[in-house]
Amino acid sequence: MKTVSSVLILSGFAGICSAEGLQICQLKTDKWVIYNPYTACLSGYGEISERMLAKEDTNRLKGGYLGQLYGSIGLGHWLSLHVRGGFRQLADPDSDEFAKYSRTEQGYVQLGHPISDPIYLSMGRIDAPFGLNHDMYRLSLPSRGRALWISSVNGGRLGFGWRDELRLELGTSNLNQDDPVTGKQRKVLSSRLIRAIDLLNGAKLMASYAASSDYRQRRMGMATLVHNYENRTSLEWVRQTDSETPDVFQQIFRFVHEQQEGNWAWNLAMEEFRRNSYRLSFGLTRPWPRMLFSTLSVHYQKENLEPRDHWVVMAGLGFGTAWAWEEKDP
Amino acid sequence: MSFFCSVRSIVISLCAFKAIHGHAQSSQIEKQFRQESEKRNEVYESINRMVQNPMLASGLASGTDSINRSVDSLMESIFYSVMDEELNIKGSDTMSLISGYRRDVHPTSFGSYVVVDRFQVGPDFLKNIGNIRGLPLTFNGNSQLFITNANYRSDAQRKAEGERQGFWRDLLANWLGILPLLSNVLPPSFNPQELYDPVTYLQTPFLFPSSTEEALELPIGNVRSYGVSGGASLSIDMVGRSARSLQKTLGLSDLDLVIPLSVFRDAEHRISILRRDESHVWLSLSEVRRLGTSLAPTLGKDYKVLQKLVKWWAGVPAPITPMDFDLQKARIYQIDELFDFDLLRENAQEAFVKALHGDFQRARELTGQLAGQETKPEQNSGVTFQFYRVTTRNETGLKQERSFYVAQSQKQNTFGVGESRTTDRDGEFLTLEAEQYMHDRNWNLLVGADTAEFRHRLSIPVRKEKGPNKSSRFILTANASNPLYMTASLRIIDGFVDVRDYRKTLGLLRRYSGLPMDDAPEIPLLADDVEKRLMREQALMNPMDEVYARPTTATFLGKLVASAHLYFPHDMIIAMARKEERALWTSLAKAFDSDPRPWARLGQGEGSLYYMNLLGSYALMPLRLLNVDSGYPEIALEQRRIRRGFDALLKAREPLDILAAYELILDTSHPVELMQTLGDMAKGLPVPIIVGFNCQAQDRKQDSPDIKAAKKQFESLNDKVFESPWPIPPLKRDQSIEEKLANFTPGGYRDFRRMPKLMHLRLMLDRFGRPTPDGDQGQMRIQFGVQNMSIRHNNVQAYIRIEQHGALNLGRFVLSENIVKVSPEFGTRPPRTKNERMETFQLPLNGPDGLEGVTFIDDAIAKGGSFDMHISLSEDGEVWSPEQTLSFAIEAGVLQNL
Repeated sequence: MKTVSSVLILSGFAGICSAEGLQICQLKTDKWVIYNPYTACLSGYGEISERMLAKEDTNRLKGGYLGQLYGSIGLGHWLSLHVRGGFRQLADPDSDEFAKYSRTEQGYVQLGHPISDPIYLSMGRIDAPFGLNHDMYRLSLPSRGRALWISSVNGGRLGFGWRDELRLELGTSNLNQDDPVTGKQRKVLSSRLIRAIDLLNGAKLMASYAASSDYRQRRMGMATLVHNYENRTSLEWVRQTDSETPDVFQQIFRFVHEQQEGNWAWNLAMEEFRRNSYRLSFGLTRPWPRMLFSTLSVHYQKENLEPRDHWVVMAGLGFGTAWAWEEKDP
Repeated sequence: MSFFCSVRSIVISLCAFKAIHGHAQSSQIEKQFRQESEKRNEVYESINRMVQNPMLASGLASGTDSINRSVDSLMESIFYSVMDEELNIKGSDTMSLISGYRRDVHPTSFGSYVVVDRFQVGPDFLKNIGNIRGLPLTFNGNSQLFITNANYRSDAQRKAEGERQGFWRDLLANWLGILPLLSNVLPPSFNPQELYDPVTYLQTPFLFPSSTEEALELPIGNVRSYGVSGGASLSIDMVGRSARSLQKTLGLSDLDLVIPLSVFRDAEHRISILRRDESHVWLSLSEVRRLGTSLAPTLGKDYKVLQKLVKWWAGVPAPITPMDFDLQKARIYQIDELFDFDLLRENAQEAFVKALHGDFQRARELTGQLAGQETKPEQNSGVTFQFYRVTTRNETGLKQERSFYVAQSQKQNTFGVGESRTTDRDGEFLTLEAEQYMHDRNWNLLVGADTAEFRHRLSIPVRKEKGPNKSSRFILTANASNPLYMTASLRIIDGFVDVRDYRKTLGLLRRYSGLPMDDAPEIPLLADDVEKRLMREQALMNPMDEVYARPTTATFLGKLVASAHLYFPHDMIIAMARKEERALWTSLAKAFDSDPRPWARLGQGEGSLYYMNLLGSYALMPLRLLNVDSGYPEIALEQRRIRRGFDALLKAREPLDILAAYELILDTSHPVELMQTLGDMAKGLPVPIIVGFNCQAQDRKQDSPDIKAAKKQFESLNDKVFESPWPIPPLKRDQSIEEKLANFTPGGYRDFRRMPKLMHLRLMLDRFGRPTPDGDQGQMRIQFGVQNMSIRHNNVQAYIRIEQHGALNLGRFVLSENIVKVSPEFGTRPPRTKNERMETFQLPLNGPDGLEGVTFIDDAIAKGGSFDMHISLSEDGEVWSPEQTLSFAIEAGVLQNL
């Protein structure tokens, strides 16, 4: 007879939360590796914030909100369905308009699992595998685009793993852009090699390569990510070249450090977009009872092309929770 | 001195009681420290110290190389370089005066550091003197006057010195308080000794003593030197058009390519003194001259990171050097002479002052060492002659490096062959020597360096016999009391060991020594509980989220230092050489992890297997230029060399022939496989072997029970010595000379003075039922047992440093640092023997009689906290015992062991 156990995750914010407040569902037992129990996960995060936007001589105070949701159901590590969506309405530093965003970012079927299977496959709305793209303020800052990373619509990913140390992922997807010559939507072919090494509490080296289907646009990237208990440090480099402008290339360096100090979690991010801009962000988060979180962050951006700089200071109140369920004694 | 104190057991006891003062309670934790058998360790330590002597390693070490150029760590580049300053005053286009200071800090195996400050000044001449077939020819000449000061310093000594010096001097020594601040906020790899005491550092040029009184003011163990060095070289840069075009084709034109071929001649003359004890000082004279050639192709560039951050700052050097290769061949002539002076005696004082200024006549006369001296040496003069040695040798050195700023690897392989004529107190003796030294070092930004050093050496005792027509020949003088044997040593230092590294090191030592070391613990690669926890945490994670997916890694353990020493008697090597060919093939194939059967069939014949293997070795040779180990089994190449060595040994009749044969046998790029082969061929024969470990587990607050268990297993190996059933031979005469010289090298000095040994440490916390009127929540005390105290003293000084434990992973976070005098409170336990006298001391940590600056303890009693307590003991404030550590936490007012 099947019995059911459900677990509501109430753990602290830092350490087990993923990008922008989404908390990670956790299993309560070790049965996942022994047999394939049915599982389900639902994680959500919402935040209202007040922000001060400072540009040259002008300061403005504006409110905003953002939210994201992630859900999955699975039959152990064999088969699972995943959906992630995000929405936001925030003041734009460049205009008086509110920038709105609402998108199903991911929706895919997964066969096998990267942490347990030598072969795994994902299909649906996903990004082709490329780079690390550790951007914790993806939703919070409207000016932050994905720049050189691949932003896909629909695609697939096939992964091979060797003894927990090496993974190779191959993928393809259509890009969300039209070919300037043919007018057809571009596709991308990509590969990513991930090597796990025994440094501190686990480190990864990542090399990626991607080319558009007409081979005019190419990207390459290297990244390193180091875990030290609940702290993470990553450094990533991405370069994009286009055969139509052979003498010009675009390049990004990004450094992100996240650290937990008692109840507090802080992070520091630096990014240099070659001949375009550089950005500096510092953020603090603290959990409170009833799944509430307070957040405070400061961002500075300096643009080279049209020389100007602006500041954003944000203070927010968030609510995040994750709910996990696993089948017991099938 | 025992460098082998370690943790034997950890006892936790908690006695909670709620009777007195309502909810008052007491808790305590205790740690025992083990004392290994000293005699056993002395032998091991003595050998170990002798073989780590870097001065004996290579006469080529002073050449220019990119080890000096490269950044040893981020700390080095940002902070420590403050202490490496050079002033270059240009006199003309070709001539300049260079003056500079440099500080190097060397760790020792017993916890303290050796801080070496050097000041030098001298002219440098550099001129392009023309072209040969379009290639530039350059002449370089330089000479320097230098003075060095090498001091042993531990944190306890630094603190004690600060208290003696007074407020202002201490403030300056600590950079007006900046140094303690840096210690607090920087990662644990930051060593305050690198920057401590800039005043003494700046005084370096004036620190060499000029009188007996000044010499007697030196701290015991202090080494000071002065001398002159200089050299000239003529070099031609071999980078031609074709090399440039190849560089461009490979897309490496961003990097600088140089291929200098040079001829050099340099020399150094040095006088050093070492304060041995209250009245005795050793004074040595050394002179080295080298003549040789060098070829050093380098492809790389020193980039500067964060250059634009501060206007006046040149930025952090970030060397990217995919290829850095230096091949040197040199003829070396070296003289070493050593005297001991008892400075309480008048004659010795006079001779000492003269010797300080380079005049050794009087010292030689008093000890009967003057050439053609007819008068008898003066008894009780206070001057004791130790030895005089003249060495000539030919050295070949190959250095390969690769640097990608955050990760570097360096490999050095030096081979020296020569002869030494030594006069000691028992007369003159002659030795022929062959030695191979290999140093392999890997470094990365996160976990620092790991190094492996190999030293294979043969010294042949001989005498010289003159023949007709001014000819001469060496006659072997080895006998049962002075046997001929080859020594092999391996030393591994890794400051950041996980289970994978531990297994690798253990495997390497097993292969190298041939000892099974069954008692060494088998530690699981992954901590089972961590693996399960990570799986539970990540199974339902979004599989697209690569940032938060954490791989399970081999369990981190701590720091490991291990050494192995092997002795192969000459007769045994002869017996191996006589064995049939199959035995050598089989042993070599096993050493390279190949199937021995097809190789065993080869015999003397050379089949396709042989040639295919040889071809593979030649094909992969270019990889050596890039310092890449291909892992290819070079069986045929090794067999060919060893066979030639064996054949030469069997034919050898003269000592020089024996030396040449060993030169062939020892000159390998595969030292582990060579020793494994010899060990396998000598199976069952008496090969004395000794292997020792020093393991320090590093505990973290977040450690899971399985990680704690793994660390406990790791620490159980600490101080363990594994031996073969055959006794280690006593030191030979030439080896004891080297042991004396080792005292002058960083980390080589051995302090024979008594020092108190910490045997156990108990931490007690009495929590009050309600706070006192002063707001105190409870009292914390330590109680410790001390052995090996001298009769003169009844008090000890305790250095106690408390650091934040764990919560902040990156920092050292010193919370308090105190030196206090304590007297035994519980009376003296009657000693069974002199060495077993044990005293027990007690000391309050907080409260009115407690240490200074420990209010954080009161906070911790109320709110909780976790700490590391480091303790070191001294009787005179000068000699401090090795630091011991106790990690503890206070949770809900109760002490807990970490």
